[in-house]
Amino acid sequence: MSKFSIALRLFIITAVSALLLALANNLTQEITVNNQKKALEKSLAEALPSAKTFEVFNEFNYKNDSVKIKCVYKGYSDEKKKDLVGYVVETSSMEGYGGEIGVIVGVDTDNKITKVVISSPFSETPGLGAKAKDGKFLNQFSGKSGIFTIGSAGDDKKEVKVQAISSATITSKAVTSCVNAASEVVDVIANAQVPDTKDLQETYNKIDEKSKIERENAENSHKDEPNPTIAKEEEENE
Amino acid sequence: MNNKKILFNGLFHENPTFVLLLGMCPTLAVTTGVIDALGMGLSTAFVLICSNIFISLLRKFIPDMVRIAAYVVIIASFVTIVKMLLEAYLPALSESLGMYIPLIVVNCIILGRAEAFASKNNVLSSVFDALGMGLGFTGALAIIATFREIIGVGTFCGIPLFGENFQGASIMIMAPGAFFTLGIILAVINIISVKKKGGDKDVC
Repeated sequence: MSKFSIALRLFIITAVSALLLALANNLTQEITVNNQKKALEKSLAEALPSAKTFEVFNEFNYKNDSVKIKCVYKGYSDEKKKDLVGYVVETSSMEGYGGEIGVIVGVDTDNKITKVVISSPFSETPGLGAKAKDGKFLNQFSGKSGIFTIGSAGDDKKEVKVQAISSATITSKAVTSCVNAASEVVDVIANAQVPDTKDLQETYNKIDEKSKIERENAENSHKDEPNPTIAKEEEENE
Repeated sequence: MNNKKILFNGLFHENPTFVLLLGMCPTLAVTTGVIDALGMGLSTAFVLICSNIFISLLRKFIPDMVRIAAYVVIIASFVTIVKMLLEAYLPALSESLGMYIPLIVVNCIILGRAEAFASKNNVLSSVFDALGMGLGFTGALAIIATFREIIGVGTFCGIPLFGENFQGASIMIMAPGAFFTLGIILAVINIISVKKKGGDKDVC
């Protein structure tokens, strides 16, 4: 066999392989992206069960060295995106025992944790760190707010004690720091929106006053005399 | 050699893990739980069967001088295609096996069997060889994982065996435990095989 034909045959093998890879990629890419989207939606719904629609919200300033905030979603209980019930924060900590740990945290509008879900990447040791996926550890966060700490909490009443997974303190700490970061981010977002809501409140008040005056005018024109007995009773109650 | 012999050859006499000592990386890394071990073993067996078929079919086309390069290209693209198809059509299975599939590409059992068997034999024999080797590998991983899981965590396939208060020996599910278990099993197998051969006392 000549050198040329050897090279040609190897070229044919690699070319066919490349062609098949390209075909397979073309065929599966869209479905894979859809699958990933569905998986994300599922864990979002799990983290914040009261929300039905989610909206990406990434206008905030937050920096943390050990925890990465990947994305923040606003959760609404209705489809028109009016009734805000909480936030879902997609975080990941680089300080797991086996590398990066993805953690999805649901936080309601009172800054209480609704649920913590472990997502990918997750490569903790099976039998030790992998127990972080169990409800026993994750349920400790649900329904609580504040700064979560592993082990014995100090006198600071803001700190919430979390029982670490035995022999997997590093994993427990990584997950806990993700939850704390998520809680902080939501706090930042909620505070940043306070002026907005104040403005809204003022406009609401103005509208209220306007309609009140109108209503009073209307009542005065229709009713000549207010009912004296009711007025008296109200005074007594007060 | 008939096909039955080829099958049992992989399972016992030339067991890839305990006799040939191939594929040590997954043997040490993915034997912390029996379920993980079975997942790794069976996906390796599947890829091994398919790659043996391909290599055996192409054995006359692949030039001898560049055979290793050709095997690597064929196996790597094959594994990648399998991974893509799994992700798209069987996402649940892909989630549980996903971390093993990239490990299979670099698993030397597959390249080893392509080189040692499939490139010299017909398709049917190659399938039996892959089946024997794959199941032998799966069985070996499962044996190691059984010891490590029971001693280290106190469970078998995730089912608790000793009740709530059992504290496993954590070292068994960390890297050193893998070496301990593998070393002891290899020693036991060597003692048995030496005795079978007639008990040469100098060999131990």
